[in-house]
Amino acid sequence: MEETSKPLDMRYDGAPRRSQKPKKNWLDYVWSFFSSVKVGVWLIVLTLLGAAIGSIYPQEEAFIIPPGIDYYESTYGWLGKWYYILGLSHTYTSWWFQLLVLMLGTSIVVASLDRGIPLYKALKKQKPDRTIDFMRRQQLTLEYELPFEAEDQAAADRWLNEVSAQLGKQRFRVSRVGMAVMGEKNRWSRWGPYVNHLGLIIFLLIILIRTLPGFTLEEYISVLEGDTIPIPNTNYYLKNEKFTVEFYENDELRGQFREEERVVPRRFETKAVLYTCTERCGTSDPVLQEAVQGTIEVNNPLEYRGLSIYQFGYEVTPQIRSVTVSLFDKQTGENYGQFTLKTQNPDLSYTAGPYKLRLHNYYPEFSLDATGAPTTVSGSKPNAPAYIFMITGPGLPEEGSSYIYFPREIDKERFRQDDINAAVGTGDKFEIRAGGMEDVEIATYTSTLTARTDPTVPYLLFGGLIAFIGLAMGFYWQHRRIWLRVDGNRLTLAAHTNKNWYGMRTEAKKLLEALGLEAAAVQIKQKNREGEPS
Amino acid sequence: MGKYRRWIQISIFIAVLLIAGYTVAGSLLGKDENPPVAGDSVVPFELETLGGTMAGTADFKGKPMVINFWGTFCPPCVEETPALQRMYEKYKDQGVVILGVNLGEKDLVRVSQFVKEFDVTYPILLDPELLVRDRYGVRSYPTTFFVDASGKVREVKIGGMTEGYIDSSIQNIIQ
Amino acid sequence: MTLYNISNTALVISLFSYIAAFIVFVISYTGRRFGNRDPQEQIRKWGTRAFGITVFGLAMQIIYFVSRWIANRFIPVSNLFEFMSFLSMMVIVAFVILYLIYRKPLLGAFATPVGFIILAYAMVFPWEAQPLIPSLNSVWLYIHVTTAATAEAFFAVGFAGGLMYLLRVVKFQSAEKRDRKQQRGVEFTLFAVLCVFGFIFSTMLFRGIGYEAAFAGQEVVQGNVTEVTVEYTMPPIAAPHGYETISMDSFLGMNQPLFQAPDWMNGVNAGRKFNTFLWSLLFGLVLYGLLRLILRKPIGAAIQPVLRDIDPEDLDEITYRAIAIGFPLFTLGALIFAMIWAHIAWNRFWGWDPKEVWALITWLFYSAYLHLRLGRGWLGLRSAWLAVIGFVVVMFTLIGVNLIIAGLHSYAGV
Repeated sequence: MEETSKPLDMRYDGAPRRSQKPKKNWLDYVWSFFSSVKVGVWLIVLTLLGAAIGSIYPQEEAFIIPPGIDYYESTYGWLGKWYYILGLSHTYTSWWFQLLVLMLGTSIVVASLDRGIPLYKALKKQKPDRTIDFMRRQQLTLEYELPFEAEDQAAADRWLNEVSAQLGKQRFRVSRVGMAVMGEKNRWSRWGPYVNHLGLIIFLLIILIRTLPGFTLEEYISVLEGDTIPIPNTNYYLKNEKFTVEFYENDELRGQFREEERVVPRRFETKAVLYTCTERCGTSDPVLQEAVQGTIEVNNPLEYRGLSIYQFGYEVTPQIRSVTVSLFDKQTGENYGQFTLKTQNPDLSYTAGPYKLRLHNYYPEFSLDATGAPTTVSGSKPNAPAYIFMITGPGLPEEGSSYIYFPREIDKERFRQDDINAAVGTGDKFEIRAGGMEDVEIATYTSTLTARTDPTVPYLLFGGLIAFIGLAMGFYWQHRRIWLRVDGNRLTLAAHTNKNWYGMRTEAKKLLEALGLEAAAVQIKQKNREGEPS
Repeated sequence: MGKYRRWIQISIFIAVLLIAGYTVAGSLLGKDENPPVAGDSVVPFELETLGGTMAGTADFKGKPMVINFWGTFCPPCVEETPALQRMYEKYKDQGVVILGVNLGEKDLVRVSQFVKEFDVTYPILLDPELLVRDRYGVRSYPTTFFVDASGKVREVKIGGMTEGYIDSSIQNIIQ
Repeated sequence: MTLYNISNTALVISLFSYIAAFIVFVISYTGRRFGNRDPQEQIRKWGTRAFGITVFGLAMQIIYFVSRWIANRFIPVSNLFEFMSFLSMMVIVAFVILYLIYRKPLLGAFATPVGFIILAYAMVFPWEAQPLIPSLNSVWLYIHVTTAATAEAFFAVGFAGGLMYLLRVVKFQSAEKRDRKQQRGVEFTLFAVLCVFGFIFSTMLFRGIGYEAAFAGQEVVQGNVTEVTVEYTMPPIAAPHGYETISMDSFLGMNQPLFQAPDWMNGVNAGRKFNTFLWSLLFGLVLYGLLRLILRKPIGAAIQPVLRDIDPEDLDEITYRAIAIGFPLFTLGALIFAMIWAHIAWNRFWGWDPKEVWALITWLFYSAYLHLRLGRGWLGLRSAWLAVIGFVVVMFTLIGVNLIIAGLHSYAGV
């Protein structure tokens, strides 16, 4: 046997691809551009680099309210400033990154069609009887003289039957035409890369669909215990009825955490009610209808008609919600009556016995401005609430007498409530006072939740799993074929696999050894080594 | 067979081009959720007034608007209120309206007292849940949007304004 | 003896077993030309012994894992120490699998060090397992982390194979420009490995002598300026930028930090991490210098003769095979399962968090590797370099992201 010519290009089983035919027009050029593996790898690398650049500084999307250039410049200096200016602070939603991914997707589609269709056709119409020339030009070859007479057709036939049987035992699918036998197994593993590509395309297409307006919703909300707030961009309101958190005992912690007496939550949950708003939404008295109620925990959302509300975290924000006080006569100690003051939009009038109190003004965080006039530091947080009443009733002037009341002792001292009230006269006559801590209603926690709608998730998972299955198909199994033909008493054997030649060689050896041809087994020749395109 | 394949190729590329156009347009033109800047159209909204009725941008279509985001807790907002009121009186006959959007103060007693004290006659709209504030991307207080009669935002001013400034900005939008 | 004692002891035994296995693997090759021994027989005999020690070490590590699982009542992959230990265990498992397929003891001489270096690195971090915070308390934690770590372990063995290929094939004798570039690349890679040693060694050393230094400064946290104190457990070459020294143990006559970290390094811990990095670099340099002095030639050139009898194409195949096994697992564990878990815990399956981004980058990188190899015929040298660089990307994803970039993903305890 002389040295045979160079090995046959067995990629796609030797079938020609559309992109390989001489390019006639622009369509062919574009097609073969996207079909090329070189271009595909370039696209992968560029996407990879783009993604890496986007990870340097936090992206705008990572913030609940996207910051502007000032944030980047003040936190990261001039590098941050230029990061923002070049648009890198929203890399992943930028037009160039999305175009890269689109081109990658195109490349996947075109490359798969360009190769998959010819491969499918070639494998479908292959025949078991190959020419000797074809077989000699395979990677694994063997030519051997069999131990019977060249003219003995019957012996050859019997021998080939043995081969078929043995191939069957090695779990090959056997086909025979005349004096040629082919064993083939795991053809389906050839489709691995194509199945993988299909999965990726499904995934990318669904990602694309997601970007259509209105498809998905994502909102972060913070709700104080007892409050009801709207969920932005929806007609829903959420009420935090009660928030509970359990912590690990110190002796359940270990080492550093235990020493530092760290506070580590074991679990926390929000008892919540979801409302739909029908009218006057966004104002201070919307018309609400209860939709559903339930308990929201991490990993366990509240769900309603495609909307999911997840527990994200919580903050410790103790605040007075209300305080129940009584109006006392300073001299006699008589209690004229009790009433409750809210710290958010308090009522305008109260009655205590014969006296009427009109709320003249209310400041959640009382302070004195530059001119010494009362004002509030915070627009809504009752950090230092102060109520100014005009009291009317027996023994008081018609227009009423003013009285200022601070629920918190510390504010009362700081702003000298008694002095002020004494100066306007009411201080000697009246006192407004709460009974004790039991009269103060405090909300301790603010629950942070995320509201989300995303119908695409199960389909994305589907696409991802298909992609994985394709990888497993392609990498964990191999397509193996082995051809044998007998001419007279000469055996020509050839074998091909798309991966793992070591394994293919072992199979071929095993076949020959099982047929009693150990001497032949060691003569199997391999042209190139593992991994080369074949 | 060859012709069939050609059509597949062409349709794939047409689909890709369409998606590319959609993608680029989406990124470059910005999503509708971006806060309005000078040159954009005003973002419509409707809120409750102090009086309890509903009012919004739609009620003043065709009129120049000054949308001022303010709060009693914000000293520069308080300082510029008398100037705003004077400018309102000066220009209201020319159709200019000033909308005072209050930033999340739910204590109506204080807001009413403020309006009474400063004799504010332009509409005060209440944004208790800060939804309009977020939609307008307001981060510092006060922030004022000057909108011309055609509904286009001409200027976004961050910070307190002097009377002279308000005057010249309003002049700008009535042209 | 508590379960934790058993667990910790078993882990330490496994560390020393891997080191012993490494030594015996090396002996099986270096000792083969002594005396009248038949080289093949020597390799086979000692190779099998070394493999046996490796398996024993693995058994010990499994004991560590199972007993810790029982003691913790949840799977021990919840902090950096546990995760890295698990990773090292999977590296040894991956090695065992590839050894059983290819029966090449020399792979052991390179894979076991990858295993025990990762294990030693893990041991530097706090061991105590803290009880799980709610967002970590999901079965998908187990599934995602263990699958991803298994895949990364195969990539690690691919790294070992790739490095072996380079050491086998790079022409250290040649003075041609192209070969010089290769030599420098290999030396740099070995130097980087020595820096990891430097990190482990320096951390243990300074911890052992109980070194402490403290600094006070101001940081802007969520818009508020707060006073913070930073503690160093290594002598400050670089102090945090703009901080004052509160106290500092004297070291080699040094009473002041040498300089301040550059101001563009942000975050409370930036200065400390930079300082640790500098010390690792320093120790790495010293180790490298010493080795060069002793060996009197580039380290790669010194190791090359050991690999003389191995067929480079076998190494090429082992490297490829390891990565081919690991890649589908990586897709499943680091991407798909990660997205499932993220969806359940935070209700967004992908947030472009730096850790997620770098997992994607790793995936894209190995995808490029496979396409170049299978589609463009990139074998040999180019393929080996990609396998080495790929593992650096994996390590950056695991460690660099936590260290340099912050995000939602930082493991509890570090």
